Amino acid sequence: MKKNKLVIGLLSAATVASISACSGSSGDNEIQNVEIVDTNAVYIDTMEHIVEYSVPTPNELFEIIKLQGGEQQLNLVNPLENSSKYVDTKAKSINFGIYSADIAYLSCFGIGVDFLKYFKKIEELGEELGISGAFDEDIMDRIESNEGDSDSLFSISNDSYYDSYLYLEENEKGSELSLIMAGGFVESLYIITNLVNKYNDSDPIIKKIGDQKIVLENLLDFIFEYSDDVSVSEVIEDLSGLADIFESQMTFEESSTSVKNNEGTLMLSGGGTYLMNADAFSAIKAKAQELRDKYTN
Amino acid sequence: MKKVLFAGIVLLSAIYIQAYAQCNKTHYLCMGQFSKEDKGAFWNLNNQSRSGAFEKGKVYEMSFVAYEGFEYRLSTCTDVASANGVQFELAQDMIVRVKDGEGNTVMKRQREVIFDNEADGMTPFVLFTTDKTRKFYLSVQVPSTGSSDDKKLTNTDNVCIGVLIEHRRTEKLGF
Repeated sequence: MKKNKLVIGLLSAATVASISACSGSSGDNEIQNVEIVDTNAVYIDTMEHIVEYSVPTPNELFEIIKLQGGEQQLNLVNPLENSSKYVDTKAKSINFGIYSADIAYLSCFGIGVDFLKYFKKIEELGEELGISGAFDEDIMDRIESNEGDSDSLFSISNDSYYDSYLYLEENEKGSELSLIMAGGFVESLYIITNLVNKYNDSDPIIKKIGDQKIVLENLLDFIFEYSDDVSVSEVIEDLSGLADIFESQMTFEESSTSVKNNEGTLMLSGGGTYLMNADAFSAIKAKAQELRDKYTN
Repeated sequence: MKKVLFAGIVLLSAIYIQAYAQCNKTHYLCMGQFSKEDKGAFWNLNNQSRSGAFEKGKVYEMSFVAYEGFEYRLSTCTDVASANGVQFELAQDMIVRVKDGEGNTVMKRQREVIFDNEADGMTPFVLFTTDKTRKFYLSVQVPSTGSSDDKKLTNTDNVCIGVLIEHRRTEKLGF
């Protein structure tokens, strides 16, 4: 758990650099730069600013995409035949993540027929990566006995992703974990960008595509810890290119933040946000396609 | 029905035993802090939940992403039996406009605490929703005294801390 550390100052500097790149002219009311201020007064007395970054799983994303009207398209998942191309550890790890995102998508959208085949492929890749211990011995039985129940299969795919995460973390396989998470992210983004054919401001799936900017930030912060590994470093470069597109193409909009307490539930609203537009959508979709092609072919 | 209930109890017991045995599953212990009513409410385990061993008296900080469209329940816990709850703060970064020394308007990122459980009677959890997907920061104060239940940590300065994040669908979604 402590593996995933970054000193906040480094992140702050990175954020300053990236947001500053979008700044306008130098008039009195123009934004000249963005400076990160650590407001220590609002913190618990921290002796060291070490942050661990968590990233939502593909399951969580697909669950919400389905609620927002996303439809199943079987042709979006990575064909199993491609797996013969994955020879080295980097390709196997990334595609372990890609196929994991695929089973999350398949089960979420009720395509149970291919679930078992895809899961077997994940298990096979897991064995080749030396992480077969991540899977329960009875998981295949659970899948076979729930083949027609997409809710159960969705739950199994979620559990297996989390179990793999914990196993890899516990066994200090951070580089493999980083590559798996990167693969899962790229595949999820590829799938959701291809669920939309034409840009529409009010399409909630478009909004969720824009939301992946934040997810990508946490993912990059997470995997940066393992950047000494050449394969991870290469993937960071790929994902940084994607992050640059999110940053430069989306439009930043300011608004004040509000926190209300509604019968014990805090309701947060407002605050500065990055908004999607047609150009951003096209550029993000093209980059997701490019990375997906690079990793799967 | 009795069989289902029995299986549920067995499963829950197994999770608890496992949680005590392994620091990396401490977040499952957080469920033990909920009232009977809160335990009965349906929530999905969010895979951004984390557990680990931390030095006593230090602060553990993590960042996670919450999606618009879900309601979240966040709780913290420790395996230190004598600890009277775990102090935590939930925060987010805001971007605010300020004037710099030369009179120019600049934007600054500022951390804003949304919830401090110490100011709320050390309640072990917080419920929240967000109108847009956003990044949160959680600071957890590791207890400075007491001993971990994990045998590997008994004679060390470390104890187990768990952060349990759960989510469920909110009613209004889409157009």
